[in-house]
Amino acid sequence: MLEGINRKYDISGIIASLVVLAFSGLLIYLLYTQIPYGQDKMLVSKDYIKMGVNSTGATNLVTSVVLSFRGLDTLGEVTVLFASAMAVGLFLLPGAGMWQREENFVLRVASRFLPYLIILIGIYIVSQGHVSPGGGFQGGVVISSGLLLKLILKREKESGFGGLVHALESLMGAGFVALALVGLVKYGSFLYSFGPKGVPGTLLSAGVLPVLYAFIGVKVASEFVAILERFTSSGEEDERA
Amino acid sequence: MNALDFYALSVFLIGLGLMGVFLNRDFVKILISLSVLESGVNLLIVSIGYVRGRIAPILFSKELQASAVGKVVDPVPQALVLTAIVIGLGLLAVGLGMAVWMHRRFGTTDVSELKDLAG
Amino acid sequence: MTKLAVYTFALPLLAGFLMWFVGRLGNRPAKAFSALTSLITTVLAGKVLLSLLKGSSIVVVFGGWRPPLGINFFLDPLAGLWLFSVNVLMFLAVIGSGTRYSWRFYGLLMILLAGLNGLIMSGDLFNVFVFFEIVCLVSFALVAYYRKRESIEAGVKYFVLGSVASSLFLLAIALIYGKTGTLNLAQISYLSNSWPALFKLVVFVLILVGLGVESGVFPLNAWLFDAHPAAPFPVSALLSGIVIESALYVLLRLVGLFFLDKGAVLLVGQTLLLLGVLTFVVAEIVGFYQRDVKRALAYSSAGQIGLMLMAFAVGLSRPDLGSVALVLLFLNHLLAKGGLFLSVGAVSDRSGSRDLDRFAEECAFSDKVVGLVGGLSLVGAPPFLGFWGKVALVFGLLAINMYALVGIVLAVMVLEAIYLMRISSAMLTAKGEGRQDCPGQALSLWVLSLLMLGAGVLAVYGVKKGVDLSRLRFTPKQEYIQTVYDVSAYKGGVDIDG
Repeated sequence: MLEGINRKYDISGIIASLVVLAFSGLLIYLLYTQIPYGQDKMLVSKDYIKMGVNSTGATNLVTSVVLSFRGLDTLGEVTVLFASAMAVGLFLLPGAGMWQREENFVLRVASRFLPYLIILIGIYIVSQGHVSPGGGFQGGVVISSGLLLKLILKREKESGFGGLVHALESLMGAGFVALALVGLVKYGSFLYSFGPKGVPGTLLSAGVLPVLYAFIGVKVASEFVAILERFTSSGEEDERA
Repeated sequence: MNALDFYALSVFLIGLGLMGVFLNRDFVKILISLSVLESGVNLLIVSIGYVRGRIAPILFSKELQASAVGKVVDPVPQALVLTAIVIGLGLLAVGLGMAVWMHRRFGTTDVSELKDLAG
Repeated sequence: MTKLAVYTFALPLLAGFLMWFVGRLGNRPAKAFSALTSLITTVLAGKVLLSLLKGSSIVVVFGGWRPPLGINFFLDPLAGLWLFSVNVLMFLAVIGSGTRYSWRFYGLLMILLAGLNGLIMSGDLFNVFVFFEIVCLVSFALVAYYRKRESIEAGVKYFVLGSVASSLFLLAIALIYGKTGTLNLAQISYLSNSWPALFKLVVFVLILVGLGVESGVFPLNAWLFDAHPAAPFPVSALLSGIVIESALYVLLRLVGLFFLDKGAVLLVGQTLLLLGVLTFVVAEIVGFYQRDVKRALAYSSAGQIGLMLMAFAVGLSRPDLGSVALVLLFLNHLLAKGGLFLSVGAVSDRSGSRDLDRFAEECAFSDKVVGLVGGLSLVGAPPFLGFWGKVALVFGLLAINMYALVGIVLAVMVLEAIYLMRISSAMLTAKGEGRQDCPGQALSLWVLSLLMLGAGVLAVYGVKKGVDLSRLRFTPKQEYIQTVYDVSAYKGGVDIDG
């Protein structure tokens, strides 16, 4: 085994390692001299910090950056996830019997109550995204892990289930774009954060931002379940010419 | 941790990831190296945003909101990394989809064998 | 008008998201839905282009935040033209895609369209990265569509190269943000004057590699030659016709904004010129020996990218010749290569072989027309666009005293002509009567042929009438910064800009 690696990759391996080493050294030198660690290097961020809470109502500045100042990036991110879910659906054909697991005492008992706790925590993370660390993506992933724990013991594939996740994914994505378009049509700018600002720091604040996060949370959760379902289904890979 | 630690760590991860991609034959290991590479870059971005002595950019009180500019770290790198991590995740999902398919159809994930496969 | 620009991005996105619902009705409705969406975006992009040609550049603001606080789109006439062309080819590719692709395929195409549209318009560095990732991810997935060994080999190669490139690009962005504190292209451009040389060099190399993989620059274009033959033919048409060009577009736009100060112009120009020549010469020489038709066309695409790089480099000192050459070469390649892939690809699918001698057994009449017109156009026969583009490039090279290069380029162009004509003549002399999957294929091929025939004539007519083709260039740094900052005359507080 070792000899195979050595023979095939000797020269190119050495060259690659040297190049990477040189590059890393150069990188460290540049970082150390050009981008001083721990110093205030902010430019546009100063304005974000000054205006973030007043303009969006969210006390979590990162949320105001993610959903308001740089909302278009978040839309792109949502799109990337959606596209990857679609791509996985393209590669892997659906198979029979996803969740076939051996009966396992710990798993059986835990899956009776643990998923709900996890999903609850996930919902908390999503809903508090504008006042504390959290948000749609983080919470969505937690929710999906709870869902998967719940489903891992199902013996037959849920017939309507696949459809539900895809419908949810699509609707939430479209909903996000729709809200962004509302901003365009009604307020003149795509992704304008509208809605009642409320009292910053409370749950019902920041206008449409928590709604956007909720959409993202549901979308991410359903997307993950869909992707993982495709991965674990034992499909027969036939010719698709 | 001083300057060199975080920067050095991220560059180390980047270098490690790059070497892993170049030198590995198994596609899954290549994917893992890719993740290491991406984590290195993300770590670098976040550590660029750090300012000594400041707190997280969550302005939870009125006093903080009034005088925030010199008190919190840069929120932008955190937002950027949030997006970058998700994008990396999307790429990984597609890559793993390819790996699973490759394994199901051809029984191997060794990229050097790709040329010799029948099909 | 700014609303229309946003719609060209938002509508395909919406269409992609909703594709599952349409897909429940079947694959044909999904195709129709995509065709409708891309037709709408084409019309919108056309309107935007007309307004840009008449007036000045457009800046679109997002989230109600003026730049550099918020993300903005920037559209000059070149961007408008690029946007319009991308949408046209997407529409034609969807129409000409036949009947065998699934709703997921069309959903991914719509997302690809949204990503490309956003990529062309974006004025923010990280936003560019996000859209670039969308385009890359969808491309990786679509290349590996079929279940064959070559598809997974091509897909994996493309995926690995492309993902590493993305991370390197992100690394460059990290460095830029660390140094400048902003992600707005105009603001970075303004601040880039004070970057030290080593920093600039490293960032330049990172961006060049990061975007060069997707653009097809030598030696990073190894994936191209496996991906195009293996991919479904509409995907090959789109990859060659708009995806690699748009990656090149972003690369050139960034180079123009960040690295073209007085000291560096010469160095950058020479580097790009050298890369362009290498890309062109290597690709065409190897392409000459190919027996696989789609593979040969892929080598031709890489070659044309090389020519476009050279045109940009020439344009640094002679914008009248270089920029014009770039635009003409781009349009020509889009139409011709798009058409050739749509026809050759379909024909080789029908006959079951991609070998030069046997692929053309099932040529329909419209395939033969495109084979002739596309081949001539690509080769650079007058009066097609290709001719004018190559003439402009050669004159540009002469104008900057690169006589040796002119000799090399002309010689290699002859090689290219030979193998392209081999393909065209194979199609023209085909015996069998091919039947196309659906009338849409014939329609798209006819439209492309007519466009190619008309474009060359139109361009000459337009120039005679005084149309200033040199407005179609990458807006120079100063003007770019000025346009964006005019919008951002921002004194604090939220303000909405339409």
